Amino acid sequence: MNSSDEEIVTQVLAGEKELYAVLVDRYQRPVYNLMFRYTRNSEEAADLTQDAFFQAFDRLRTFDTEKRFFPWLYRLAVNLAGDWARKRSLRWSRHHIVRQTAVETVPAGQHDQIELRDELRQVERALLELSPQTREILILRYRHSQSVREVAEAFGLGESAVKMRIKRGLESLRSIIGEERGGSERE
Amino acid sequence: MSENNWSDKQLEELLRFDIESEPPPDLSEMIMRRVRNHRPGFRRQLWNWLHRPCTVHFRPLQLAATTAALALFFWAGMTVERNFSEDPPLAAAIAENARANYLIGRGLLAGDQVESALPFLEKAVQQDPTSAEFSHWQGVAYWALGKTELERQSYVRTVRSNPDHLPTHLYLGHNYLENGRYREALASYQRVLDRDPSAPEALYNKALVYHRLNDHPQERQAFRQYLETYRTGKWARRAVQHLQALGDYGYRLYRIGIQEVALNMSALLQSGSAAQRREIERLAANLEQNRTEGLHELHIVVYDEHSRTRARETALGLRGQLGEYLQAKENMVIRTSWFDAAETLGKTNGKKLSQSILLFTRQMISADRRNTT
Repeated sequence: MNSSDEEIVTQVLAGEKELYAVLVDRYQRPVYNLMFRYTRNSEEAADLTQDAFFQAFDRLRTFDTEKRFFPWLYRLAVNLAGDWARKRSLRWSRHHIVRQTAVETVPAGQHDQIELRDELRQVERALLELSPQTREILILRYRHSQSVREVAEAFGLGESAVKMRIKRGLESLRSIIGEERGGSERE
Repeated sequence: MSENNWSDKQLEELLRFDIESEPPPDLSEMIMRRVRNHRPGFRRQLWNWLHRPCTVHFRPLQLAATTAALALFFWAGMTVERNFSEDPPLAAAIAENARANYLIGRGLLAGDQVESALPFLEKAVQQDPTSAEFSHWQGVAYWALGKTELERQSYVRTVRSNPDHLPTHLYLGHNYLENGRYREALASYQRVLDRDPSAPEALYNKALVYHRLNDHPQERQAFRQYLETYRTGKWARRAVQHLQALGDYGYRLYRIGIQEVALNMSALLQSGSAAQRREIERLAANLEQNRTEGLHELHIVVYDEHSRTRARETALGLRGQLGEYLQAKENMVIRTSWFDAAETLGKTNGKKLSQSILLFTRQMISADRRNTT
């Protein structure tokens, strides 16, 4: 199906509930990974992804089809992840953490691939040290190729604020990676 | 790019790499199952209407209310701070009181201010090293700060001086589990279960430890043990999913009214057994609890690849017995159907069950009601 997200939303709202599966298939991966960055737990991330899509479906009528669907969904998912983090800190409920490294999916073998994988791993680790909002702004902007305007809409910020966050986020990333490398050289 | 100092452009290139993990294969199907069963309530409909897209953003009332609330909070904060600073003996008394330090630490933890909480909890432990409660929560604060070694040391000290403090055994188990020390995690969870055999976290995580150890028979037994007690909620759902991943379809998830419930399908298929009666009783209780106002129908669909007669007998037997347990029978229509075929589970799964039961409920609208009567 080649319809745009917004066309699909219109059809879902007209009663074609099953078409929502197209949106789920398109965006479950970025939403699941977003949740995983917050929870560091694959099962919890899957649960929160379900909740995010379910909430989005529940609130679909509030979505403005003149705008893009993905930033709207992402904002909702970020809010949900933030709520989860706050509740967790209140309840201190813990079950288990199944750690997994996202960069495992990059094929290894040749030297340059190994080197690239190492660099990606450093960036991924450094991203996790940023504040959740800055991290998600960078990911939405670069990994998911959203425009500054769309990122601004997704996070309820002005465009200049987003540009500033991106600039500072990149600086912080560089500084974290620099520190990490310095540390390993001393060892 | 391997130079230490990456330019913005190089860093941006690295950030553009799509290195994300794949979600679980059945996630999409699980989401759609929830979506299909979704019916917005009146409050949600009203909320959607109020929050429908519109172009007017300036809301003077909301602005005024927010300003008033902020002013009130500012005033309250100033008052509290002034009163507190005017009473230094009170602050000194609090500083010397272990329980006061502990309570302040707990309060800060609840406010997500872990770094501020830790010194208070550490002080409470110093002032009263015998309190299991204090050292337990000190461990929790270490955990929140990612200091797993200190966390473990706190718990170990706690259980050494208070061997019966179950919350600490439980959290010690979590610490071991998260750090891959599975045998020790198992021992800690077992300590909890010896004293409280239905402790949900210990039951579930014990199964998870076996999962991590690839001990499938024990994992299966432990998840089944969890489900003997807990049938609803996300842990029950996950337990069923773990069992199904092991090829055990004895338990299944059913949408009963407004809730998803795990039921022991194997027991429901054992006609005339005590296990079947217990399961039917449980199903009847779930039907009573989870239904909303109005007339409902429960569909019982039985599949038996080898015998249509047996499928029919099972379906009718279940309907008959369920009728005995249901209190408000007049509000529940039970419909049965049976097939001499295997049931195929989900589009993505493709698993076939030669003998199975499918259950689902739906609320009847007035047209259905006329057909029934």
